[in-house]
Amino acid sequence: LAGFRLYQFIVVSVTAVADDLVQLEAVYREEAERLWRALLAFSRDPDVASDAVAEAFARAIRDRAAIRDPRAWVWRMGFRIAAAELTQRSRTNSQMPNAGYLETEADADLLDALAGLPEKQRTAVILFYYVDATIREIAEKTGMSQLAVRANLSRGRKRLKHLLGESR
Amino acid sequence: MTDMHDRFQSLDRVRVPDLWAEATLRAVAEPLSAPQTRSNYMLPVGLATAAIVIVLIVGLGLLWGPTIGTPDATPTPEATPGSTSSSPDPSASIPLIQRMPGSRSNPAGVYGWTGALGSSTGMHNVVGLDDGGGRMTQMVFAVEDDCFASGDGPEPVPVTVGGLDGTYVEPYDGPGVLFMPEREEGQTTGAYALAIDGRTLCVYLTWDPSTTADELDAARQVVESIRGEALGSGLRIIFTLPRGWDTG
Repeated sequence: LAGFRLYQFIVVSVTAVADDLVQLEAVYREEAERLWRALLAFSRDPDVASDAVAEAFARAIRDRAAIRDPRAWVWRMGFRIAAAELTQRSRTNSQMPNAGYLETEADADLLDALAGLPEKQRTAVILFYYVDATIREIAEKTGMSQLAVRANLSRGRKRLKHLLGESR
Repeated sequence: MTDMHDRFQSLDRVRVPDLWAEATLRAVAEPLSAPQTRSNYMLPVGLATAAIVIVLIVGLGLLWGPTIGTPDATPTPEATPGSTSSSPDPSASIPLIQRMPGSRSNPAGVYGWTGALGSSTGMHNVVGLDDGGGRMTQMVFAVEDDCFASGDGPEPVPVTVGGLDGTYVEPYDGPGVLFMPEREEGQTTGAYALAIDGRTLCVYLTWDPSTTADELDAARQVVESIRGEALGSGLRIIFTLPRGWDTG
């Protein structure tokens, strides 16, 4: 009987882990492309975007039981990891963004202007314009309060338009 | 779709690598967490924390019984009819409510504040956030000898607000009149100086250019609901809020 119960426990556990992975992969298929591009706009560096996306989903797999809303969670974690990476790079001044790769694909003026925004304003503006997220969704995806999102978005939009005006 | 949205859509031209396999490899590079174990200890820890918080709240409530109340609290001994002669209803006592709205999701109801001379507090109501902009109505209470001493505005005009006599200035600007410290373009502040029991309550009401007439009217009704009485050098007030105001 004990052996049967152990077998049952193993089957249930393996099935639960498999279900979690299937659900997380579904989240990945739905969110990862937009998240990666948003992080590219945030960091101007495809390596930072790739590292942040892979690490965010790796942590989501590891901590899946404690995550209520994995869709919002991976966005929050992705931006947090990318911001930490950029901070680390600015301290060590170790690597410049791969701007040449981006210029052939995306709006280089826009990416340059985004780089001129403070981190939270940049995040709010990217989520608003690229992801079409509402204030509430931006708050969920970033961990900021809705009021902070509103303030950062308002200032970020004004500053971005100003910077783009200067770059033209 | 705006021009700016179009420019951001250029990001869609950038090719995205498939990182799922790398994510799963990174995940197993460290031991998988054990969900059952985590939830098994998180639950009792959470319950124990909640129990401690409840015990602390009840204990503090017993300790400070006469000075901490809720919207349903009974009137205080000092809240006698005679002490509220400047209030809208002089025959009514002021129930003891010292609770300002919390940082988020406050129900409609009666709230209160006690302030010494020179002190202030504030709150705001933010609506329409989901349409991309949002608008805010802010209200600051202060106890001052002169509500218009340190700011700029036209000559005050006499008003009676909810039974309280006072003066009103619009537009008004000065230090300390905003709950959110940075004035945004187009915002207007109306400043009230209301006489309550020999003291002066300053109410600075600020609204965005996009605030609707109904929203502004609802905010003015909050001002009209104010009742108060002197307490030491300051004031104790209560007021009625609709849903949506907070201090977060």
